[in-house]
Amino acid sequence: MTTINERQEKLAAEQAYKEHIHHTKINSAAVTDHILANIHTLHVKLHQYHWYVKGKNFYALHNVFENLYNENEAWFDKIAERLLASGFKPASTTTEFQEFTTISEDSSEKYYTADEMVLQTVEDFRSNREFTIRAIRLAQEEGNDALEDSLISYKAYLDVNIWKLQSFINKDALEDDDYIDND
Amino acid sequence: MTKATLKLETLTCPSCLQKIEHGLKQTAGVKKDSVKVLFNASKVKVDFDENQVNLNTIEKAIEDLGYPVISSKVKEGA
Repeated sequence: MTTINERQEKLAAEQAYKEHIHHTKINSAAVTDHILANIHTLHVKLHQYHWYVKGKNFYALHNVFENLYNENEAWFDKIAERLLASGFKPASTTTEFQEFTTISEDSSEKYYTADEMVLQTVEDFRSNREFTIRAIRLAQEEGNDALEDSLISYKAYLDVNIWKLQSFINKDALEDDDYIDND
Repeated sequence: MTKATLKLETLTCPSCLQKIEHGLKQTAGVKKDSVKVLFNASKVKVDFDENQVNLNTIEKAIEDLGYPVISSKVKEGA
């Protein structure tokens, strides 16, 4: 049986290592922790929209958000397990996910119109895609083919769902995408 | 409202992005909803009220957080 001291010692070593990586040369695993944290926030947020969406499109969107949170949940496990298989230690507590997430949530969003919920989901997917793109590049540099592959699949998933959600609100896939660098 | 795009040195970690975003949102005259840090392009997009704040102050706010600004572009009356 492990003692609390033994466990805390291991944790302290792991945290010191992660801190060092963040401030020296960031790696794919550190960026992927942020992707996981965002997926964790999206899990709650997509439920909020699933529960509170209103209007003529209730039945359609209620189902869409349910599919999205189920798929989101599958990515959470898949990406974390890929990190583990590559020898990394993904974040695994609510405290860590709250610290790492870059996606905000708000109780008042329950009063969003249906279109606003769709728009916000597009925005959150785009924001997490930014980190996914960076993590893909880093995994490439590190020669971590399997992690790169999983992240590319996740990016492709986000691309398709951004397009579908945009179509629902009468927009093209890349319309109003602030992340596109025009210069 | 004036729109500015600031080019920064390469942002390496998602936490930098959060620091810049929080810092700018607390700067008077900056339209909070408009602050967007583009992680891969290493750019900041922001709308601000010229009567309350100018570009220099915004650049300084970012540099004070430890992120050098390489160049800035402004589009007025946007």
